[in-house]
Amino acid sequence: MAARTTRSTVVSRVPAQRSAPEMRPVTISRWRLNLLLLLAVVIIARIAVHLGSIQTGQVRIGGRTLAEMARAEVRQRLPIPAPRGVIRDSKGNVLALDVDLQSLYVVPSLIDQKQAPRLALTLSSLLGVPSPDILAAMQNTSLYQVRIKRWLEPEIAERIVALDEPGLVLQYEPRRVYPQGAFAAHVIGAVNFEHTGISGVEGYYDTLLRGSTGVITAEVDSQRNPIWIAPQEVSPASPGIDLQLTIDPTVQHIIETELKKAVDEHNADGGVVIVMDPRTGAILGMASYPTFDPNRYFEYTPETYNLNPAIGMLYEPGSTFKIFTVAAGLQARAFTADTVVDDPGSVYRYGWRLSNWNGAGNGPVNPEKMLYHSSNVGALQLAELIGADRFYAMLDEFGFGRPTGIDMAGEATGMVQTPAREGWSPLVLNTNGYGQGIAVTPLQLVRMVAAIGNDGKLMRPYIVERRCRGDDCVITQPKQIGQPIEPGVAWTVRRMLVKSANHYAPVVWAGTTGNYGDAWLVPGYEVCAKTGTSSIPDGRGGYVSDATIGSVTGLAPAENARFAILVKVDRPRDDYWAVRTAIPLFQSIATQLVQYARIAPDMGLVDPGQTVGGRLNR
Amino acid sequence: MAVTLKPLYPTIREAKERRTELLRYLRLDGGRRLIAAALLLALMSGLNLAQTGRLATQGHAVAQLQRQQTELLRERSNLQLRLARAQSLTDIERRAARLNLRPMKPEQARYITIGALDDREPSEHDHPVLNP
Repeated sequence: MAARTTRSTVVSRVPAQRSAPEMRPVTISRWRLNLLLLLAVVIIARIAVHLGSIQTGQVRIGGRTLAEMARAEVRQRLPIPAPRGVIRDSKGNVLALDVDLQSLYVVPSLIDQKQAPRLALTLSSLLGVPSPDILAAMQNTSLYQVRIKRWLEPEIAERIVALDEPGLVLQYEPRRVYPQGAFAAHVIGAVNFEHTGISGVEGYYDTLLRGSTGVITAEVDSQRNPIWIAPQEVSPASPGIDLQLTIDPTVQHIIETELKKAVDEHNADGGVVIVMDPRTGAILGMASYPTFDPNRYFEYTPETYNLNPAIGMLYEPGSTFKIFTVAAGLQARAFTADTVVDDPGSVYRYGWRLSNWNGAGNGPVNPEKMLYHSSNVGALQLAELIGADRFYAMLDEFGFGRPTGIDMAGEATGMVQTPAREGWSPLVLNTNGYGQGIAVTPLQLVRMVAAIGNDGKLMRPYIVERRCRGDDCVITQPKQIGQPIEPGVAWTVRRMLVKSANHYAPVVWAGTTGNYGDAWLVPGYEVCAKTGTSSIPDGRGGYVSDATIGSVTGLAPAENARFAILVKVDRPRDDYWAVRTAIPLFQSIATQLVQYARIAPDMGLVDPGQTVGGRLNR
Repeated sequence: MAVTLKPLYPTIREAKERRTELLRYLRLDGGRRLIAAALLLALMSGLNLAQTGRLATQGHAVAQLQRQQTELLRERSNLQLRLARAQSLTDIERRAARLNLRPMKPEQARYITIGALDDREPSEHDHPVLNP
C-alpha cells in the first residue's frame, strides 16, 4: 500500500488483513482539513471573545451586564434611617422615643440538637416564650435563621449573651417605646410595626416625626459596611422633629387616676376627662378609660387604640348644653337674665310631650333658675325665644358641627340638624335647647365652656406646644377663631354656673357637714359647673332605657379661669344620674387642680364643716 | 576561526571611567529609559498603595468611630428610657408609698398670705390661717 501524494493527505492507515480484501487509505482532502481548522479557529475565537466579554463584564444576564452586576454588588446604595422624633410632655418628660433593642434569632444549623431542649427551656424562662415554640424553631433546619422574640429588654439581652451559645444571634432593631406605658395613651397614639403613626399625635404628625431617610452610595464589604477607599456619596438623613405637648404631667396624672376610680366605682363602661386652658386653648390633660398601652397596642381592639373618645366619639350632651342655650339667648338679646318662663314640668309640642328629668315643675324660672334646676321645659322655651335662625347661627359661631381643628388624628365632626337639612322640624329646636337631638364631641363642649371662661373668645384647641428640629423650635401660638359671645354675656353665664355648681355641693359635702342645702362645691373657690345626664340613642330613633351618660362641664376657678373641665362617665351601672356619678369626679379634679395651680383659697368661701382641699374619699 | 583577544583590564577600567562620569552614566538611552519608566511606575504605584493604605487605615478608624457613635447613641437612648420610666408619676407614687410617704390631708394645709407689708395695711391674714 502506498501513500497517495497528490491532492489528498493520508490521515490514517488501516492495517491490511490477510483475509480481507485490500482497503484504500482514508484520506481527507486539504480543503476539508482547512475548513475544519477554520471552524476550530472560529470556535476558539468565539470562546476567546466570550471569555473576553466575561472578563470585561459585558455579558448580559437578566438585562444587566456582569459589570453592572459586579458594580451593584460592590457599590451599593444604603439607606440611612432617620430616627423618629421624641415626644415630651410640657415639663420635658419623655413620652415616646426610638430605642434600638436587640431581637433574638436562632440559626438552627449551628445549634447542637442534643442540647436544644435544655437551651429552649433556659430561653423560655428568660423570654417568657413557650419552650416548645423555641425548640421547634431550633429544629427547623429548613430555614437559615428563625426569629424567637423581638425587642428584648437590655438586661435580658445581656443574660442571653452570657449564655455564650453558638446559634443564638442578637440583632439590633429600632423600636418605638412609650416609657410611661398607658399614660396619656389616647393623646400620644401608637406606631405600627412599619413605624407609621396610626393614631393620636403619632398619627397626626407622622410625616414630621418620621423625618426623611438618607442614602449613602459607597463600596461595601461583605457585611454591607461602607469601605472608605472609594469616594462616597452621602445624602444625610433628616431626623424627625421633636414634639413637646401641652399635656401637664401632674394634671394628666390627676385626671387619669380620678377617672379610673370613678369608672371602677360606678362599674361604668368608660369615661373621658378633658382639661383645657381657657385662655389659650392648650389641652392640659386628656384622659379616656379604658385605655391601652401603646407599647402593646396590638393586644387591644382597634377601636381602643384607634379612637380617642375625647375627640372622636359623639354623644348627646344633655343638660350641659343648656349653658349654650342661655349664652346664645343672652348674646342674641332674645331674652335677658331676668326673663321668666313657666315650667309646669312638662309641655306638649307638635304632638310630643316634653318633660323635665323628674317630671316635676319648677314654676316661673329665669335662665339662672333654669340652669339651677336643669329644667328641660325652661330650656326649650328659651330656645323658642331665640328662634331657629339665631339658635343655629350661634351653634355655628361656637363651632358645633365641624371639627375644632385640634392637631390630633381622628377628630369627629359632630352632628347638628339645621333647618336647611332634610328631616329637621321645630321639635328639633326644642330638644336641642336641652341638649338632645344633637351630637357633639367632648372637646367641642369643653371648648364652648372655655370660651365662656375666656370672656367669650373661642380658641383653637391644640396639643403640641412646640416643634423642634435640634435647637430650632417653633412655638405654637394660641389662636382665637371667634368671639361668639360678649364678655358681659360670658360673665353673666359664669355667675349662673357658680350657683349651679353650689347646688350640687351636698352630693359631696352632705355626709361631712350634714347640710343638704347649697354650699361651696370646692371650698375656698368659686367654680362653675353644670351636669348633664344624656340619653343614649338606640339607633332606631329612640333611646336605650337602661343606660345614660353622666357628664359635668365647668370652670375652675370661675373668674380668671385656669381650667375648663369636662368629665364624662359612660353607662354607670349603680346610678342613673350624672349628679351622683360625675359631680364627685368633677369636684375631686377641680379641687386638686386649683391646689396644683397654687391658687390661694378665699377663706370666705368655706362653709361650716367644709375643709379647703377636701373631697370625697373614694 | 580567528579569535581576537582583548585584555580584560582596559574594559573594566573603561567601565569604571564611564561610571565615574556621572552625567554620562545617567544618560537615559534605550534600556535605561525603560528602567527609569519602570522605576517611576513603581514609585507611583507605591505612592498610590501608600495612600490607599493610609486611606484604608483612616477609613477603618472612621468606621470604628461610627460604630462607637452608634453604641453611644444606643446607650444614650437606653438611659433616656430609664430616666423617662423613673419620671413616671405612677412609679414615683409607688416608690413614695414604699418609703411610707403619704399624701397630705386637707386638714394639714396651712394657708399664709404673703405680701409686701409696706404696701398695705396689716390684716388678719398676716398670720397663718388654719383650715376650718
